Amino acid sequence: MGIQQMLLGAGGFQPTLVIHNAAGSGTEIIPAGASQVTMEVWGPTNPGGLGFGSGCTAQGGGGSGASGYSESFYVCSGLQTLSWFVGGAGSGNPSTVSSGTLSITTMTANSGVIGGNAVLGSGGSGGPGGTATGGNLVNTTGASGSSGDSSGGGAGGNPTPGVNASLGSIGGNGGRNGAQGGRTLGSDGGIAFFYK
Amino acid sequence: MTQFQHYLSGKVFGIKYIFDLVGDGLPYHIHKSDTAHNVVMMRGSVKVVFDHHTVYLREGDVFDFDGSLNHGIIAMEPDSCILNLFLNGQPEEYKLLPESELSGEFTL
Repeated sequence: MGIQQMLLGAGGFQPTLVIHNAAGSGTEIIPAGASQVTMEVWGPTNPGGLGFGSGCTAQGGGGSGASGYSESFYVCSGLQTLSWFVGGAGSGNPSTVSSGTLSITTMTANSGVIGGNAVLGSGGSGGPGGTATGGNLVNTTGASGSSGDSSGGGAGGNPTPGVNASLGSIGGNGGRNGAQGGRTLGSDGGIAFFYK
Repeated sequence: MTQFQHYLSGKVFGIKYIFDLVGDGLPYHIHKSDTAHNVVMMRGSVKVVFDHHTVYLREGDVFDFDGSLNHGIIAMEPDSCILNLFLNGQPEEYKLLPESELSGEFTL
């Protein structure tokens, strides 16, 4: 094997990372020459919960959970296809990768649960993390958001890091009070295809 | 029933609370520096309850304390009234509060 072949792989294919990190869908065409694909899928995140009141009655909304994370590895051939869908922030739609001409088990990464709204005397509860299914390597439930209280809104759950990319986002932070300062609305999911 | 009303005069900001009945009050809470306040006892009497001690206030008292300590306020007389003056003025984000948050009433 020559030096160039060692660098590029036995088939002479240069490893390629393709990222989709905005809400939408499409057909992924596997690059010519690729023989292996590792896929990582993160769901979107949701808004933090609503804060309540002001002054002595202020209570923070709960943070939303981080999304689920799914990872799969498949042997593939160039020009085979896969279908992908990236869930939008706050949409409730999971991110998915499913079969095209390459047959796979559908990977699904769900969004975390939205943080609870604060009420008089009680902050909003943190939302549980989203689940993930269909990955043949990893399916990880996202981290939960933290609860809000009188000191402020709860933080969103921290994202699950990936292997070839890290496209997960922190869950939405809860609002600090009735003015909703500090509240964030979540982010789109993401999908990474890594070809070798 | 507790009535509340925001108060803003120049840079002086506070929230006035009127407690209709004995036992009405404010739930336990803590403050960060932007919402730390004292308590001006306008009418009647209240107790400020901390985790390990209680302070009783009568009409005319002004009470300064560490707002980062968990505390609640409970009326000792009907129609008691306090004015909580914010030590650092009106929090910037309170300018975004909807009208419904500037005055109203609640029951614990």
